[in-house]
Amino acid sequence: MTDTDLVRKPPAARVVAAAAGLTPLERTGVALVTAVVLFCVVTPFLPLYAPYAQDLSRAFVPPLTDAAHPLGTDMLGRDLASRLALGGLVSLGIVLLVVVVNAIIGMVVGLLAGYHGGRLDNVLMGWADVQLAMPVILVLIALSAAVGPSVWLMVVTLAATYWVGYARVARGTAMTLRDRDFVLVPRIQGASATWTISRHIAPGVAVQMLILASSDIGAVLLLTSSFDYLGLGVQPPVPSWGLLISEGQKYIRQAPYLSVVPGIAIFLVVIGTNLISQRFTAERDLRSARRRK
Amino acid sequence: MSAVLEIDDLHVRFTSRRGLRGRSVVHAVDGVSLTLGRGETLGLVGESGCGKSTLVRTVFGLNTPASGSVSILGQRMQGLAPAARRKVLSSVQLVFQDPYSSLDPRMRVHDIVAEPLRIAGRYAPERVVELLAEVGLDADVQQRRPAQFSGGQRQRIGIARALALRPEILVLDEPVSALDVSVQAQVVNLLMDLQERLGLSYLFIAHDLAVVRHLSDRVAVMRQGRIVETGDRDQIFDAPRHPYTASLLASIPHPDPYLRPGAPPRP
Amino acid sequence: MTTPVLLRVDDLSVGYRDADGAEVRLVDGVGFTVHEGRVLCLVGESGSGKSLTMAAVLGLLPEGLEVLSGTVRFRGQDLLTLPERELRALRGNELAMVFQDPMTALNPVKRVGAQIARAVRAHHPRTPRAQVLARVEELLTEVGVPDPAERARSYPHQWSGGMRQRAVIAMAMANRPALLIADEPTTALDVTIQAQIMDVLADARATSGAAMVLITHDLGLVAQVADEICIMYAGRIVERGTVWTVFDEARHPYTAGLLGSLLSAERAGSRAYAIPGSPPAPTRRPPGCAFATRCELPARSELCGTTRPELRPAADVTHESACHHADRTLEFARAVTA
Ligand SMILES: Nc1ncnc2c1ncn2[C@@H]1O[C@H](COP(=O)(O)OP(=O)(O)O)[C@@H](O)[C@H]1O
Ligand SMILES: Nc1ncnc2c1ncn2[C@@H]1O[C@H](COP(=O)(O)OP(=O)(O)O)[C@@H](O)[C@H]1O
Ligand code: SF4
Ligand SMILES: [Mg+2]
Ligand SMILES: [Mg+2]
Repeated sequence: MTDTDLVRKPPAARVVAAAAGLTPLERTGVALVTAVVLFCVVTPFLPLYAPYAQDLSRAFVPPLTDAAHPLGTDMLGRDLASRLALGGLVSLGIVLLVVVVNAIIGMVVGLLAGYHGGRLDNVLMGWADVQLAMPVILVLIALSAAVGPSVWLMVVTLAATYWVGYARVARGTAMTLRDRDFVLVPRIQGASATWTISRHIAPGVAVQMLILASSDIGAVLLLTSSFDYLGLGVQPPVPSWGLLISEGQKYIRQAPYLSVVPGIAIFLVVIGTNLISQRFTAERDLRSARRRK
Repeated sequence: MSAVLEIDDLHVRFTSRRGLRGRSVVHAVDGVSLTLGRGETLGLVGESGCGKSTLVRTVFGLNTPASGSVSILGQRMQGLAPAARRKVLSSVQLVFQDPYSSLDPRMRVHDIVAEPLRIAGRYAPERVVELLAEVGLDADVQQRRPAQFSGGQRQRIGIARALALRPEILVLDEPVSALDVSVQAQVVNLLMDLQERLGLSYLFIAHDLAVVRHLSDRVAVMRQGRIVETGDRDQIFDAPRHPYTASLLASIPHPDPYLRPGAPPRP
Repeated sequence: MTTPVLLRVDDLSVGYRDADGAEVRLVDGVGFTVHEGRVLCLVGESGSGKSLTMAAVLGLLPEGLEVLSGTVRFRGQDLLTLPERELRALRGNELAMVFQDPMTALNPVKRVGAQIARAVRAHHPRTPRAQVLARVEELLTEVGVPDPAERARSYPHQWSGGMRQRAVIAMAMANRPALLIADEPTTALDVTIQAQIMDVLADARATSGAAMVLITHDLGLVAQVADEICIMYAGRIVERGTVWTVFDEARHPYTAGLLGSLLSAERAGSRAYAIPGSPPAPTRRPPGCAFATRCELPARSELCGTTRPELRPAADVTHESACHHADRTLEFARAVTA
């Protein structure tokens, strides 16, 4: 199958065609992520949904014993399925926000540095190196101590510091593309940098940012979940997967499922996204191998 | 004959850092003077690395000369305000050597040819069709992408783009070097037709002397950043004055077996 | 011809099977013979199957491609059925190769001298060190490398493109091969360097008496060195003959077109003949003559679109053409080269 075949078909057919081209492992990845996301999105519409309703008389109901609480209840008798779904929306929302903001900042910085080169490049990439040298966790602890921990503090700190990898890739691509003949054409015509970058350089870079982002989701989910766990991120009573694990930890002997179930959710998403993102890295290697021939 | 492009004692240098100590300076263009008359074709030949592309890039302002000047249509480019410079530069266009890297693989043919028009604010879809027809391509290629074209067709698309702003001068940097023999002839013929129809002036760069001889009115021979000899085509090819030109000419294998040493007489 | 046959290729087809199991023939029924000490040129546009033909002969086809039919006999021995071990012993000993990019044969992190020494030792492992070094120097001198002892100690990246190609030729000639296969050895080089490399090849062949298959699209080179010529188009040989007859009496419209499209002194300032269009992709070859869509021979007929012309004697047995109207090509050839 060629790219042009994919382009010409209607969207639904394209999805089918794309799925047909996936390996079994990649299909497993897609299935895992889709299942978890569907669970998080659909549960709030079910009658059992009540993430904050307490019922101390029905605390510590184990999973699969009560039809009203399929995943059981926690120490306060709150429905675990509901809390897992809401926690998932919160955790995944944060991850998406962090990854998207990072990709955008990194892309803009990288494009400017790579296209213009010279002093701007030195300044931007110097700044990037400083960012990289900063230990995110210590910065977050210090800031949390200063202004009090909050989810926004975590998001802003991560968004401001985690874009360096994106910037490096974007810069590299921009540098190789800027001297390609087809980029010289608008430069010779006196087109603005914005024109040249947005038309000839950004599209190629954007694809790479997407690939990087897809492989970053698992890592950022683990990172934000550990911050939540440490109390540096999402604050109770709002649930997140990291927070659910830490809440359940206190009752680990009595009700291990309280920590295990959200742990499984994190695990599934990390594994799933890694399986999917492997396709892109494999494809990129293939393509560069072909070019080398 | 009035000059449309004048290069006067141009010097371009590159400084590269070498290891820990010292830098090395490459005199890529080392005192080049050339004049291109209106409607004429000036062939510039030289072996790879002699500075041909650097000279071209400098004409288009992509390299800054250490000294010397470039004048286009009587206007000196050095020291011209950006807006005025852009206006003058729109009358000189460039055709590249590599038909694979000169077209953005993501763009459709229509947008590739339209780009100079859009930048200049003179976009009209009919003009794109007209340009494609000018180089012998049908209007129905517009929605396709470069990957679907052969090297020769891509070179035609590149030429159409170069013609968009109705330039007076085309700088052709080895436009047929990457093409197959049978396709080379197609593109060379197209260039000759265009020159006749549109009254273009060509600065035609090549390392292939046969092509240069075929197209040029005058020829300049470049070596290590300098012009070693300039003259009318026939003078350069029939009576070269510089030994380097003579050695270049002696190296061309002649496509006639009966001219090789020890060949039998033609029956 | 009285010189003995060194290499004989018959009905060689190379290709792959597509998703539906249908054969795609990138090289289709190619045959030729190379006589001892002589030069055969495979000529054609890029993509016509020249490199794959010789890769199949050497047993070096890229992955995914296979020999679909044919025989390859070197000194009477069938190379296609030869075990890989024996074939490898033949390559670099009696069969030697030079490619367009010298870096395909050179290891960037090893000294050039050591690499040539390895080629010398490959088939004579017990040669004493001093003798090997002397041989390396001798080989480098033969291919015109100045200061051979000194240069042998440097790395490929310290050599220019032309010098690297000389080193590769030295390696190829290390064991006095009987047949040298050169795939566009000078295409990436400047004319002056090209002339030097062709001289080096001629000298090396003169001392060793090796035959050569030269793959090229440069008709100038062909005219200078070839004894026999095979013109390839779309995976097939369309004309085969001696250099003398093919250049002067082209028996195929494609050959005539190629000769006509040469830009030469005599035609300076006027239009050269240009073959219209471009070659068909291997998956989209027309049923009849593959050249039919581009052929401008006035005598072409309906037969061209329906029946594939086979290679047949045109003028005499040594000059063959795969054109239904080979007897009508001379006039056309004269018209387009005029
Ligand atoms: N950006 C650059 N930096 C350093 N050296 C360069 C640069 N561009 C070209 N050169 C050098 O200038 C010389 C001329 O190169 P070029 O103009 O590309 O030659 P040609 O087009 O004739 O093959 C070469 O030695 C090349 O290595
Ligand atoms: N590994 C491969 N897989 C599929 N097709 C190939 C492969 N290598 C070459 N081809 C195709 O086979 C044809 C002949 O190739 P080649 O022998 O390299 O041509 P030439 O040497 O005459 O330029 C071309 O159409 C090329 O695209
Ligand atoms: S067979 Fe017909 S189409 Fe083919 S080359 Fe001959 S005349 Fe032309
Ligand atoms: Mg160049
Ligand atoms: Mg080849």
